Amino acid sequence: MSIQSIELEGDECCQPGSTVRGRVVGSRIAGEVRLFWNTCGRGTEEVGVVDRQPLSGDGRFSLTLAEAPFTTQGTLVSIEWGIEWVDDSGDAVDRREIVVSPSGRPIRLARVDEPKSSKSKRVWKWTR
Amino acid sequence: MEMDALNARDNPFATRRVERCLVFDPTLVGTRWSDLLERWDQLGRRACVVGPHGAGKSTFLDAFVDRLDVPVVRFFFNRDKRCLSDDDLHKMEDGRGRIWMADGDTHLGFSERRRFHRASREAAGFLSARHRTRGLPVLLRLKPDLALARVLLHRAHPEGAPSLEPLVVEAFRRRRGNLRHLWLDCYDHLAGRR
Repeated sequence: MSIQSIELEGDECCQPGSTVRGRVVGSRIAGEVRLFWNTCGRGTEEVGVVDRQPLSGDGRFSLTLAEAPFTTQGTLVSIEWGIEWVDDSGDAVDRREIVVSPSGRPIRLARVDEPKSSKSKRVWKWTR
Repeated sequence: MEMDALNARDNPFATRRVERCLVFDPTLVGTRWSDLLERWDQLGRRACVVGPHGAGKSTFLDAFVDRLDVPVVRFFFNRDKRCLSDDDLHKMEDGRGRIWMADGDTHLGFSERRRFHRASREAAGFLSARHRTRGLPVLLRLKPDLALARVLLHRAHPEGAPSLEPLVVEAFRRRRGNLRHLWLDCYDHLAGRR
């Protein structure tokens, strides 16, 4: 069985607003590639699809990054960027993670020592 | 950032990981999908799943959707959303002949709740997740216990479960069985915040 995968031109570190180029490799070139970011962490995951391109022929693609958000790593939340190849039925074929940041490295968030999310519900106390 | 605090993406109790790892398993509450589907039909496809906060009601609805042979329309209400939105009204109109799954419909005000329930009679079925039965027969009653929490802990984080057990025991009691808050406590612990 041939390997179906995404190959990128250059490395995985990209500048915000730049163009990501590459190609998909496999026995059957079909579906589309999607450029997206997603959150990950303590809260509900959010996803934003920034660009997408149908695949055909040689499987080459060119996707345009947004200026934000940057790839971010923290203990409460992380933001990840990726390129996903989905087939005609919408099933994921392959996924490649990329780093989107002016510095070429993920932005590291400082730890939050007293986050609001960890506070207990207000407790009513009877007083005389 | 402390070296021993897990990043959000590596934390086994990140919300998306918990949602994917801890899908509803009826065997853990003493039943089977076949029994639940049979009971659903016996109840005329109008029923509720009841349980306290964080008992797994929404998790059950997410899994039950995949077991049904009829398209499903989902509705979500809570303390901050107590009215029928334009989107809800649109779904109600388009949802005739489909199964309605309502998460928290008892939060609706009296007149809106009555409107919603009357409209649901045009649906192919109605399943509500709520804290109390309020006139609907019970398809499933959920009340987590510590044994269940332990099993789920091992499923979510097999390699770290032994070291987290004392935390889970204490947190389960403090959170009064709210599994959602329990996993957040585990998350915070591994993130170095507790």
